[in-house]
Amino acid sequence: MAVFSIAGCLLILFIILPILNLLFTTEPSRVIKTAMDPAVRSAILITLSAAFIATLVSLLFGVPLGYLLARERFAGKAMVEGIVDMPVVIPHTIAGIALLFIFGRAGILGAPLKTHLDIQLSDNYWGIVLAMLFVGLPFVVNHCRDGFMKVDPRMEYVARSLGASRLGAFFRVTIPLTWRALLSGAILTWARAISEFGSVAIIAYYPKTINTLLFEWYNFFGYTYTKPLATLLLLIALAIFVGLRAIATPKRAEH
Amino acid sequence: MIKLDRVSCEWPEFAIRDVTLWVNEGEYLVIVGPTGAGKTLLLELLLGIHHPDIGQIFIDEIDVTKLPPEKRGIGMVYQDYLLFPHLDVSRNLAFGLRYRQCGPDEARRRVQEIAELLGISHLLHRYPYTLSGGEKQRVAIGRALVTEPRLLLLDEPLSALDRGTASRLRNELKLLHSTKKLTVVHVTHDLSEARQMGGPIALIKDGRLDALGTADDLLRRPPTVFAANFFGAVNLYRAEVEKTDRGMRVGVGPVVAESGHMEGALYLMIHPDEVVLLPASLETPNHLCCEVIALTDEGNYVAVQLRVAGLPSPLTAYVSRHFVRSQILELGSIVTADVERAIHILRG
Repeated sequence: MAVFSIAGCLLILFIILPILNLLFTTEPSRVIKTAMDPAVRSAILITLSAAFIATLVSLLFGVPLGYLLARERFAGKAMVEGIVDMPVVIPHTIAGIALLFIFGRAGILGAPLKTHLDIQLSDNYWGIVLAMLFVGLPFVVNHCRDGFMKVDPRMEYVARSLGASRLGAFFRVTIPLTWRALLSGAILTWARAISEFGSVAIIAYYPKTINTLLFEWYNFFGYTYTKPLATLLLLIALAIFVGLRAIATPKRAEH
Repeated sequence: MIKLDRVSCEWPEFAIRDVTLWVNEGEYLVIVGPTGAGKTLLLELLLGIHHPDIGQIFIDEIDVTKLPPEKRGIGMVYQDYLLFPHLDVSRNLAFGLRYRQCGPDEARRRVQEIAELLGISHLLHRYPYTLSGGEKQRVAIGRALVTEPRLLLLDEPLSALDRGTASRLRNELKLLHSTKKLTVVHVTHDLSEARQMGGPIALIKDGRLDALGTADDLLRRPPTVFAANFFGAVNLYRAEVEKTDRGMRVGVGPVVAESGHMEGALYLMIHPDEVVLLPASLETPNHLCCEVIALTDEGNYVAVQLRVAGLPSPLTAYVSRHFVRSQILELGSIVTADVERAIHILRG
């Protein structure tokens, strides 16, 4: 067990050391000054809001799909589960290029959308949302599916025997029992979305997200100049992540 | 009246095959059968969670085969209670009342009434995870009853409880059935539970209705070998069948019986408590000369195992302890077993 403990400690150190180093070796005054920069504030707002919209959209479509995967048997189910996981394994620059071929200005869907409806889904804010949605969707779908699988379907049968419709049973029984799992999935999707750079940079380099800005500053001005921005982003991400995790963690036995 | 008319439903793991069954108003039907026989599937077909591939389901002569559960007015209680863990007991009980056009005052009154009936008034503000198994099951029964269902389905409602609690709840269920004039279908694998509920019993085997009757019918006159074995029959023998002028002569070794027009493989069952042991005398048909080969004290009676020439396995007879003492029965004793009134013929 001692060997296991040492291995575990090394792994934790590997995660925590760069984070602590970044947090404690950056002067707070420089972080505050960076936060006041209009370009930074705009990038933060774009990143957080686009990630939020991507998370909402992924919940809107991911909850029904997760429920179907948890409850129904159908031909090709394993294939659907594989497809849902694909964005996790595809390199994100490739994902960006693939999305560009569909939603880009000359893309299969992008071109007619632009021509007929004047809707553009690349090189703008919606391109960022699209890229974030693509990389974050698996987390919502898989968390929803796992959460729904933990609720005995007979619980819904009982609700229906008492008069609830299928949708009524879903909203009055299943959702109250799974909202923490759904929230966990949403947190991971949101976290994945704000950290996304590869596909975002390809489908919509402008307007700049915080990662695009960070990448640009690092290229042009180097490590020292970028450090306060990196620290600021880390602080924002940690604050939201810790806050939402606290809500999503059960406080007492519920079952 | 609830009626299943030639209902079939095939699932990969379970099936119901060509089941016709009816439950009269106010009746307490118990369904028994081995694990995997399709008992729960049958309940869920009645409930409307699944729909039959073939056949129809009627409630009060209205075809409800395609109706969803929320439109059938049938209550369901599962073995593992399935209380809604995010709701306290009073909100669990009131869950179905929202769909019954029940105002808040009326809902409160009905929850209070059912809680008093089931002795759970003191639990109304507790959450399910704080309740014992017996309390949970009372709440689950109350939750189903508060909506006044026309049929109550109970899926192994007592099997997760300890013996004492199960016994108390069994008596309460009987009382509820008689006082509220409930129509109940109760699934169990526990034969003594099935017998004690006092109503008709349906035996399901591989999704088919194998036998239906009162507990006494099924114990004394099981229609099939499976039913006989399921209800714990002893002295079961494959019979030879011979056509005679008066019908069919069914026999095994020295045991013979007349039968009407039964077809297929036939068996003879000899009720051990109706075998009469007599002092050794001349052997005639159904008066069998036997040797005592084992005596087992079963508490209220003694099981005597007898070797009978011509029977493929020993014959068992139940006698009183007094009989054993007064007749000086011991290993090796030679006696005559009169089985004339103990024979029952059944299908394979």
